[in-house]
Amino acid sequence: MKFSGYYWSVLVSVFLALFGAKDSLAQTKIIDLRDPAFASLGAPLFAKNCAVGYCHGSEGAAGQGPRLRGRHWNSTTLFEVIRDGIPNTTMPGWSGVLNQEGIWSITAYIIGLGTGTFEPASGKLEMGERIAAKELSSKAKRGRALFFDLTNEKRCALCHRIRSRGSTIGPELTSTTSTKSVDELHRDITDPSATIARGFEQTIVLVADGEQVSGIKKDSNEERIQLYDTAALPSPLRTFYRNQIRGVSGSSVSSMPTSYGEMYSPSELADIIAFIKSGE
Amino acid sequence: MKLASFLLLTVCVVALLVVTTVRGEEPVSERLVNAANEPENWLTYNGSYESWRYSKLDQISRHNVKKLIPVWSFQPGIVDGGLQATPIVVDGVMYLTSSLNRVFAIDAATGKKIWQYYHEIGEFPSLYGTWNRGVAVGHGLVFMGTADNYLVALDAGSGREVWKVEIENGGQCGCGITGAPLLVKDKVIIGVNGGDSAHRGYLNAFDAKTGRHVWRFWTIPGPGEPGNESWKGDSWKYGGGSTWLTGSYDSDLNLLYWGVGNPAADFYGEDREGDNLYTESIIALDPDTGKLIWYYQQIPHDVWDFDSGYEIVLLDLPYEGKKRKLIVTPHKSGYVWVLDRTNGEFLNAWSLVENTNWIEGIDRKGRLIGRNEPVVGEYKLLCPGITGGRQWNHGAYSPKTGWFYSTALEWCQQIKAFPEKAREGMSFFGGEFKLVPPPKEEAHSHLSAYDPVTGEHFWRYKSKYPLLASQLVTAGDLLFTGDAEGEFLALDTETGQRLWSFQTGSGHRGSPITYSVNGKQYVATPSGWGSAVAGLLPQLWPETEYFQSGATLFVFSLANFGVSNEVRSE
Repeated sequence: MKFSGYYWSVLVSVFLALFGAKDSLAQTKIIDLRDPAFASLGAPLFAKNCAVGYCHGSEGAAGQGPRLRGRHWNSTTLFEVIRDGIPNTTMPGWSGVLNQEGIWSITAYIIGLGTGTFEPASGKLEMGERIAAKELSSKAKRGRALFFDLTNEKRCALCHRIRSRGSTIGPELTSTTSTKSVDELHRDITDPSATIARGFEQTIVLVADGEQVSGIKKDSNEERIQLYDTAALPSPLRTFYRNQIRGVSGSSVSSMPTSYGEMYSPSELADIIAFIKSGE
Repeated sequence: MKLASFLLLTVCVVALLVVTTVRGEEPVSERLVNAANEPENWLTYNGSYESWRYSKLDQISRHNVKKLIPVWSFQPGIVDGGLQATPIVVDGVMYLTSSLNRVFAIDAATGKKIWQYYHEIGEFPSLYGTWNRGVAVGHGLVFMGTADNYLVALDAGSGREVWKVEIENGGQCGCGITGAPLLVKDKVIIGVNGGDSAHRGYLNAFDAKTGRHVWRFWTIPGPGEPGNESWKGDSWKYGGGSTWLTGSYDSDLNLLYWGVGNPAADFYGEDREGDNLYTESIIALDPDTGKLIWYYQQIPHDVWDFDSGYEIVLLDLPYEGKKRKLIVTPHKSGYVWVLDRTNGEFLNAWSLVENTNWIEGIDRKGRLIGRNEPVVGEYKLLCPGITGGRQWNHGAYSPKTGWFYSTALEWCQQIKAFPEKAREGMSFFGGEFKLVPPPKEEAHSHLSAYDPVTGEHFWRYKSKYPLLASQLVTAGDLLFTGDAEGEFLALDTETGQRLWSFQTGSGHRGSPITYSVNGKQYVATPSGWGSAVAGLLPQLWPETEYFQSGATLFVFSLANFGVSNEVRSE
């Protein structure tokens, strides 16, 4: 198939709309999706990420996900689905895992499994590589690993969210990068009651059966109070309906455990603070 | 206040206290321990703590089963992933879950909905789907694990949320929950999937009333703990070991039994040299503390993605002339293991399938002989494949016949391993596979009656397509199950003869139950094709790509109870 100037301009426009002119001007690369060498780059990526286990099957033979072999594809649509996923289904978006070149190579590989007929968009495409995320210092990297360490049942991320990851039981920490000093963060971690972020003061609910539950209030209305019960980690979100509640009071003590100063060594604390301050 | 009023008030308060105390101390555990003695209910996932999936109800029997007709149906409204649940029935109310973590309370006699709860699913791992296999009920609450790794407790009467807890972020861990919880005394025991992701598995217990975490048993020991030496380097951090189905409980021994799944990377084992404890093991824990009492590892250093997560059937039967407390547990490898459940001693292992070459056999001490492992870079024929010599859907045991009923799958795979580095929460298979028929026959499936200890089989019911639904056996000498083409079947437990069937319009991947309300026996079955394995079938049977998905619960009872419909029964 001859690649016409019309399609070329359409594709470049589509590309610029998709990825933003800034990125594409920063780095551009010409990729021919019909190039077997380029498609072969997609084969191992497909095997590791798409064929896996119960998903699309080896060489797209079908699985929990649909069969990909023997089908007719529009390469732009295919690329977008791989990149963004399909909402409310088990098809995830891969933009956070694979770079654009990787996704294009999988696109080329899948087209190669198809019927052999090509949509116009399956010709040459210009693409820009994603600008790499800011590289973290080794300290901040260690801090990030500690913050999200799944083998630690008291890790920070059980309660705190930072840059779109972690739970929202405690204060979100992304904005803390600019507003808090290293010393203030150190104090927040080792002496949580020294200052308590607004909206995260401890609430105590006295329940009709005599139980007293303290934690962080998530929400309340005429019908009920929702409270993260911080007596346990991970903290359950408990709902108390008005007819169960005998009383509600506040406290100046933080719901955050006081043990983090002992749990982490000084250098580990410094690493975690470096990560919070890194602005990744 | 007048004396009479005061006395009346006192009496009321005392009465209230008594009622509260009785209700508060309602012996949930005792009721569950004796679940088999209230066959009008289906109180827990596997029917009883012994996981027999057997009911003493016999109103519907081999003599009148032809009069069985549908009396109501229920549609959760989501067909993706089919309908895989075991419904729970307590005192005339059915609790049913569906894909996307919907929970419904339904009048078990009429099918009228009482309440619904839709969990809002957040980040979840795509590998394991959004289907759900059921709830646990007790303490006035309904408990469900979710695809995004929450455990949720709902008020059984109103469906209102009482507590929920995010066990671990599903997006980060690549894990979630599809299995049903098990309620043991005042604790909700809940497993996790994620065994094919770079994830370290666990089993958790939460306080039923408050949702507070009580204990965690890591299925992979950490540094300094016994068993950690069975993992090379840091491989323990991402070694799989999921607990994705539901265990059993022996109240006399106070032991909780749970199966632990495969190690990861599934097919590439060089980076995790060693036995990889406690993957591919049956673990026996103290349910009060989560402490390990004993374990038995069926497959040291698994490289086939088999699973020890299937039902753990507790039987008290003679073994070599002496009555023993046994575990009989089928396995994805196609073998059934027989263990002493007091101490984990290996007694026997027998095969459900004829097409098997992953090992040559198992010796009298339980050791695997002649391991046949995937190799890096080239395809190799191995039977059974990753899809198993049996699927997770559960078998059943009838004390009337003394037989264990199970499906088996005769199929193979071409498999190739490749080195793979762990990426936290991402898929971690280390290989790829294609389903192929066995070398000397067509791929097929069968359902058979076995001696649970020796594996001797007494009858066999064959099916062209894989049988992927659970079995239910009853004192009416009936076995109920469903097939891929949508037929819901009743077989004679003694002969395997097909006595009755009903076309439900979509294939079966769930678990039928039976119960009664006001003296009338019902049989309920989920119908709805879906799931990962169902999706793989077109590799062997291309036409199955067009098998319709669905999600409907069908409920049947005998036609002569008020409804005359002789025409419908064949």
